[in-house]
Amino acid sequence: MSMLKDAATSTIVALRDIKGNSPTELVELQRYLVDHLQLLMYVWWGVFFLTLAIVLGVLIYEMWTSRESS
Amino acid sequence: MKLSESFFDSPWERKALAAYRRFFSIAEIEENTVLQWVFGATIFSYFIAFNSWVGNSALTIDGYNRGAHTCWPYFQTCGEWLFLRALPDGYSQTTFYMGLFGLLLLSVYFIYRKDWTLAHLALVPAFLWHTLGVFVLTYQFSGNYEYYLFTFAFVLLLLPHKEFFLKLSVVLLYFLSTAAKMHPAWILGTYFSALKTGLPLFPDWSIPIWTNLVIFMEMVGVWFLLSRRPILQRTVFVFFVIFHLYSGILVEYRYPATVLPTVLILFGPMYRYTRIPLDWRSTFGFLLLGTYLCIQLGSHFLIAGDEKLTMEGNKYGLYMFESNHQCISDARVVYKDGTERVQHRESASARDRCDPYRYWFRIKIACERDSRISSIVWTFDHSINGGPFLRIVDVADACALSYRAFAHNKWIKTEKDSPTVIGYPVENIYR
Repeated sequence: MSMLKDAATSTIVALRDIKGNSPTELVELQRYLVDHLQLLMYVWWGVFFLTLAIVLGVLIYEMWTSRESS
Repeated sequence: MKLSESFFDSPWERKALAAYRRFFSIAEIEENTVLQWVFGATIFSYFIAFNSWVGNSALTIDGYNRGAHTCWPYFQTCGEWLFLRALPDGYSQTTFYMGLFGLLLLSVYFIYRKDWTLAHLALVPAFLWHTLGVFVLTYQFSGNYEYYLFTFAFVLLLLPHKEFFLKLSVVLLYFLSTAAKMHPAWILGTYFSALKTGLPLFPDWSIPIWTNLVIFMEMVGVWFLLSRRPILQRTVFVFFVIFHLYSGILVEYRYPATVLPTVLILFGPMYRYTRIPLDWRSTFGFLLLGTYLCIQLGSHFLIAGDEKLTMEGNKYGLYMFESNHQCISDARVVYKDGTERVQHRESASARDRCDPYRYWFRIKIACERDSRISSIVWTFDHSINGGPFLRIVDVADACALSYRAFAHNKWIKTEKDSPTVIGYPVENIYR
């Protein structure tokens, strides 16, 4: 298997209109998601830090309540 | 009378033994069935780890002499510290590992005798050697399953509040692994759609659904492994058991064999809610896990460029399945007598990380050891997730380069430096 297809002759070139750095073959859902990739990245990072904040919040709450009860 | 008490029978030995027990909170293991099972699982994991290390030349002086070793970027002279010799060059490595094998067996025997202090003591050499092997002496044993094993053993052997911090470390490691997944590889699922064989068992159209579900469960769902509510806790537990069995279709036995037993023990039928420990002794556990969080996010946000492309800082923190890689390295060695030789290397294996550092490390060794070399002209093309091959390294003399461990190296182009597109890859393989 040749690992590198020449860009000029590759059938993959047909997909280059999908935001440039397109994978070799995209399924329909990926074609839709790739248009919103940046937004999706922000959403996932948002969920990540929100989850982290909630976990730290629970930890601080537990510390606070245990201090009050002791 | 326990074995340890008969071994250590003088007053000062008894005092040392008591201090050892107190310092490593061994009473916790003696009183807690869950910890005892995790102790057994950890021994099992060391057997599996050393089974793959015993015949490997990564930690041998002969590997160093052949220039086949690779060191961590933060300790690039690791090869000078290697001392073992593996077959066919010598017996010291296999002798050493059989010594560790004996100690692991001894630890099992002490468990049978219910002497957890001696079982602990017998496991410490395996822990120390594994830690040295993973983080100091070579870059080649840095699989994420080794990080898991290190973490479980560190908490189990060294920290107080062992059960709580084992549970929290499992959950946190899943959570942190999502920081590596916030990338088209997982958000679009291009890791799998770029594979010739696609995602195991599921049709291609469903790839983004499954990859985003995994992100969600590892990021949010996983915290409910610690829940007091049985239905919620059990549901998430079953998801992760299925996830590990499923992922084994690709990654085979090593990863699930390291993680799944501990997950089953901590969150399976023996699960009980563990209160958050809030005394001063819990500081060490929180400090460890806080450090993990800082390292995972620090490498991501502090080193410029997409780490999946440049691979800089990629191994500082979890990086499993972070991207599907393919690469081509061309090094033209120019000798002082005017002759030239071309070294062409390529990888189409999705899991081979295509780390320019690793390729550069080989070039550096050649430059240092072969006085006939005048310069090495080097290009390195990297494709991730089926995207174009980008020429991220294009230098006239690789011998003149150095590599910074904790900052961006300007000779590696990031996506923002507009590296030249060399071509497009065909679908690749996982192997």
